[in-house]
Order: sequence, then C-alpha cells, then structure tokens
Amino acid sequence: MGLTDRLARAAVRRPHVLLVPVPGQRPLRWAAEDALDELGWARAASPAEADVLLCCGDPGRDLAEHVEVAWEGMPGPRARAVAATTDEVEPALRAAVRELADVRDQRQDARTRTAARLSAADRGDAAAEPHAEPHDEHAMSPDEPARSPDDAAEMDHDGMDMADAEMAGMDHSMHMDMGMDLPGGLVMADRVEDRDGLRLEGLNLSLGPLLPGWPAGLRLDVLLSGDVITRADVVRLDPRPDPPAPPALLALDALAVLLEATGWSEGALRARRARAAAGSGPATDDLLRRLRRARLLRWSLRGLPAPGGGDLVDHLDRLVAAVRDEPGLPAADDAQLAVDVVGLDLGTAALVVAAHAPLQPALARV
Amino acid sequence: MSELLLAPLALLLLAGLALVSVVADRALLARAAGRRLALAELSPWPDVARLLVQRRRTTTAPDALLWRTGGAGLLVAAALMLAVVPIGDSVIADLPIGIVWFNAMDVLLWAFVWLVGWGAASATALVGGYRYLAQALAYELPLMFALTAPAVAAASLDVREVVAAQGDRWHVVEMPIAFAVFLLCVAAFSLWGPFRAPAGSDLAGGVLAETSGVDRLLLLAGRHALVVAGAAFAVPLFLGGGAGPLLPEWTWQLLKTLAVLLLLVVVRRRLPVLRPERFAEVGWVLLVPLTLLQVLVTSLIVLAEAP
Repeated sequence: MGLTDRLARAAVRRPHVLLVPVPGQRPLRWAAEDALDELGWARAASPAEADVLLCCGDPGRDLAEHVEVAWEGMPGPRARAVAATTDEVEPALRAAVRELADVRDQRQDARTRTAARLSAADRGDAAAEPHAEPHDEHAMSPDEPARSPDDAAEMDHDGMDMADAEMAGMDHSMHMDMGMDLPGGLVMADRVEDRDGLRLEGLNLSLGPLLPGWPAGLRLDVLLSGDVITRADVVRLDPRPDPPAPPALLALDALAVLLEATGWSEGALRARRARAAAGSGPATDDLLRRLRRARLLRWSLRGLPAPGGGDLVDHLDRLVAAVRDEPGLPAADDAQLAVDVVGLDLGTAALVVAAHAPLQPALARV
Repeated sequence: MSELLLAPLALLLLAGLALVSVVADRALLARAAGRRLALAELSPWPDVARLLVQRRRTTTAPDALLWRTGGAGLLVAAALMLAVVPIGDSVIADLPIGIVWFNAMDVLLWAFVWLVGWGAASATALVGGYRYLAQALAYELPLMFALTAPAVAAASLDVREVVAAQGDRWHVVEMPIAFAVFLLCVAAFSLWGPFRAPAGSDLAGGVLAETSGVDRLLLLAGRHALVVAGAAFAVPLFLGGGAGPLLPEWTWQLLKTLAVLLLLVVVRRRLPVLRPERFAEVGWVLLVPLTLLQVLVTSLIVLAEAP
C-alpha cells in the first residue's frame, strides 16, 4: 500500500463537514448535527476548511447557487452528499467519506476542475463560470492564468487550487471608474460616512447563508463602513415553513445556536444533546444549571439587542424559561433584525442574527 | 550541554509538548461529548493527515509573500521565544535582556497575524486581522507590566538571574496577579480559548478563512507552539525554574511546564469567546492598574528586603 493511500485513509477519519441547512428542513438539520456530534467530526467554518459538503434536504434554486459557489471554493479532496430524510444522513456521510478516500477519483476531480477552467480561460469566456449574483462572502477565489493540468494531477499540497473565479463583494454598487487597472479586476471602494462621521471605505458584503450557525436560507446584505454595518437587508432564500416542534425543543435549538455563536462550543454541544434527548432528563438539567452559573457568558452578551426587546441576557433567560415549558418565547421579525444590526460590527451582528433567527413566527406564545 | 545539541532538543521539546497539548485538548473534547477515550479518538494524526492531503488554495489578488510569511511566522516566533528559556543548565541564547526578547517576539506576532489577515485579500480575513490588533492593544501593556514584576524582583532582565533570585520563595507567591495576567496574555497572543475571536467561526474562520492545506497546518501548529512557548517561559519567570526536591532540575522544569500547559488547555473550551471590544474594556480599565499595582508591591517588597 502506497504512502498516498495510507495518508488518504488517515485523512478521512475525521473530515470537516460544511453543513447546508435548507429552509423547511429543520428535522434534517437536527439529525445532521446530532450525527456529526456522535461521529466527532467537526463542522467547517468555511469552504476552505471543508472536506464534505452536506445538504440537509434539497436546496431551492437560490440556495443552490450559493451551494455551487461553496462547492467550487472547497479545495480537494472533496465530496458532496445530500440527505433527503433523517435516515439518510449517516449513510450519506459514510458514502462521502468513501468518496474522499478514493484517491483516483479525487485526482480525476482535480484534473477536471483545472481543465474546465483552463478551457474557459482560453475561450475568454467568463460566462462559463457559475456566476451567482448573490454571492456569499467566502467565495473569494482566484483567477490565475493558465497552469499546466499536470499540476493538478498531484493530490498533494503542491498544486495551487484554482477554485472558481468569483469577484469579491466589492463590486456591487461601487462603479467608480478610476481608469486604474487594479489586480484581479477589482474596483476601488467608495467612501461612506460611519457613525462617528468619519469617511471610511464602504464595502458591500453578503453575509451568506452558509456561515456556521446561520439560520437556513438567511442572507444579510450589508453595507460596511470600516467594519461597522451602516445598512442591512435581510433576504430569505427559498423560504418554506418548518414542520412544528415542541417549544422546549425549539428553545433548546435556539440556545444551541446562540451558544455556538458566542464560541462556547461545549455549551452548544450540551444543548444539542439535551435537544436530542427530547428536552428532559439529566442532560437538560445539567445544561440549565451551567447556564445559571455562566457569568462570563452573561457579561459578554450584555447590551446587544434581542428579539422581543431587551438584551441578549434577557433573551437567554427567556429561552431557559421556554425549555422548562413556560410561555414567553418571542417571534422572529426580519424587519426588526435589519434594524438591530445597524451600528454593530460583524462579530456582534453575528450574535444578534444567531439570537433572532431560529425562532419562527409560529413559535410565538403569549 | 553542547550548544549544538540544544537547539534541536528545544525544537523537539516544543513539538512534544505541543503534541501533549493537542492530545489533552482532544481528551477533554471527547469527555464533554461523551465519547470513549481511545487512541483513535485522541490521536491528532487524522487532522494532520487531512491538512497534508488537502490542496492549498488562494484568492483573487492576494499579497502572497506577506500572506505566507505571516502564516509561517507564528511557528518562527514561538521557536524564538523558546530560545531564551533555560533548558537544564544551558540556554540557546544567553541574552542579558531575555525578558525583553520574549516581549519583542510577542510583539512580532502583531505583524504576523495581521499579515495573515491582510494578505488573504478577503473581507472576513481582514476583519479577523483587525480583531487581533484590537485584542493586542488591550493585552500588550498588562503583559509588559506583568513581565516587569519578576525583573524588578530579581533586579535583572536575564532569565537565568530571575530563576536564581527565586531561591526559597517563588515569584508566583509574591506576585500572583502578574502570573495570572501573564497566562491570560499567553492565551491572548496565541488566539487560544476565549481569545480566538480573530479566528472565530462567526467570521468563517477569521484569519484562517481562506487558508487550507499546509498553510492552515502551519497556522494551527503555530498557535499550539505559542502556547507551549508561553507556558515554558512562565516556569523560569514565576515558578522557580527547575527548583524542587528529589528529582533533577530538568524533570521539575518539564513537570511544571506540563502543569501550566494543561491549565491553559483546560481553560480553552470552558469559556465563551471574548469579543475584542469587551476585552479592551477589561484590559485597560482593570488589568493595567492591577499590574501597575503589582509592580508597586513588588518594588516595595524589594526595598523592604534590601540590606
């Protein structure tokens, strides 16, 4: 057995999975998250980190465009899986791992990718690349001139991967014609005023649907001034209602998402396990006890706007109450979200989105 | 010990301790997830193999030289930090200003991490780089004052003299605040635990967002190496170097380094990520006065004990 095969087999023991939650398929997302927790595989934060792309259900047309961009952004070796029902999740993951371990297939994939791009570049045909108009933010991929396909024949780290050319988010509304040839065809950013009256660079960014922990099909189109959001639009891609679920489980799910966004991954794991244990029992009690004692967490969540008013600490308390089947879980409101994130920087905005989003209008119980 | 052997030995120790920290981290992760602690679970080899096998990638118009320099810089800085830590009786770089050297190396990290974020020509990576600078502005002064306290107590910036000055009473007893702040700053400059906002998953990985394959491996290894170097430096500075009964000096030093390292590993996943702007509050309003007070107390003790 060659060294490459041995290395490949070791490499697929713990792949990183980029999870694509699909609107209307919440049980599938739960099943996928539970499967990943069980297997001990990490959830990828970006396509650059991912080996496996797992779609929880069949994405609609808009979301599929984003998925294609993410797929192109994944360096090899890579594998793709779609799970249509909760039973299919684990078999899909295992099949993806087998695909990853197949060295010959992966080399073929690498060769085909580069060949396709080279021929597109030769034809000067920009339309050959999947051009997703709403592109998500981590699809900044290169557009390098011709490289020999032999480079791609090696699956090892020598070949520079040329995932598809996708213009950086800067080009939306900045049509300032400088007459200057910037690298990669990018344009200079325009200046916009920020909250302190400074004129900083304005950057149009799409915070995409595939960020980890981001709610299914939600895209936030923001205008950044420096790193502060000055304008935001909430876009729901292919919205579909989710099947109903007990409020305790929904509250646990919301807790898991929020805790993951704050970076307390251990807490998020416990919340997901409590959710998998159907919301009652020692796992839930353990989680609630830890949340009561989590002073650093509460300190870090203070002052951020939450759905239904108050700040995120109040929201945390409301979720804890909802886990115990007490009423009072607020409804989500996209318009409110768009207002709340203005004036926040990207990190805090991510927290606010994590708090707003898993709640659905159907959840409101007063 | 021959100077020629010392550098490779130091690097070997760095690698070995980094491995220990990774294994300990995985053990804690497995326990929190309720999985059994088997070799397959604890071994970091699958993660390393995955990154070795993964192809590298790049972005539209990155600044490749600076990007890759920053990426490799973390490991280099960690190795250079280790150069002033006494190993047994000898030290690789016998500088009379060893403490200042350590500080200079951790300031270099400002450049390296920011370059990783900037060179990638990606919005999220750049925001990650700026987050690191914001964090660094908050912890750098407390770190400098925390490093000053042992220097004042030993009346020297030479690490070996700081060890010698701890004869019967370790510095950690005299200056616990400086020790605690030092450990906090080690976590902060290594993007460790509550300070991993610059590489945070809310930003698709922050400075790590566009890296893959070997570049990513270098960055992740660099983080672990920095924690090890910081833990190794804490021992001669605060924990009496190799002092201890019965066992030889190098054993004690290794044991103490392991203890500090494990402490840092335990803290890693227990705490939520601190947002840099919240930490800036803490750093300037709380830590700077505290460390200054600590230096004052230490100076008073030195004066009181002066013959």
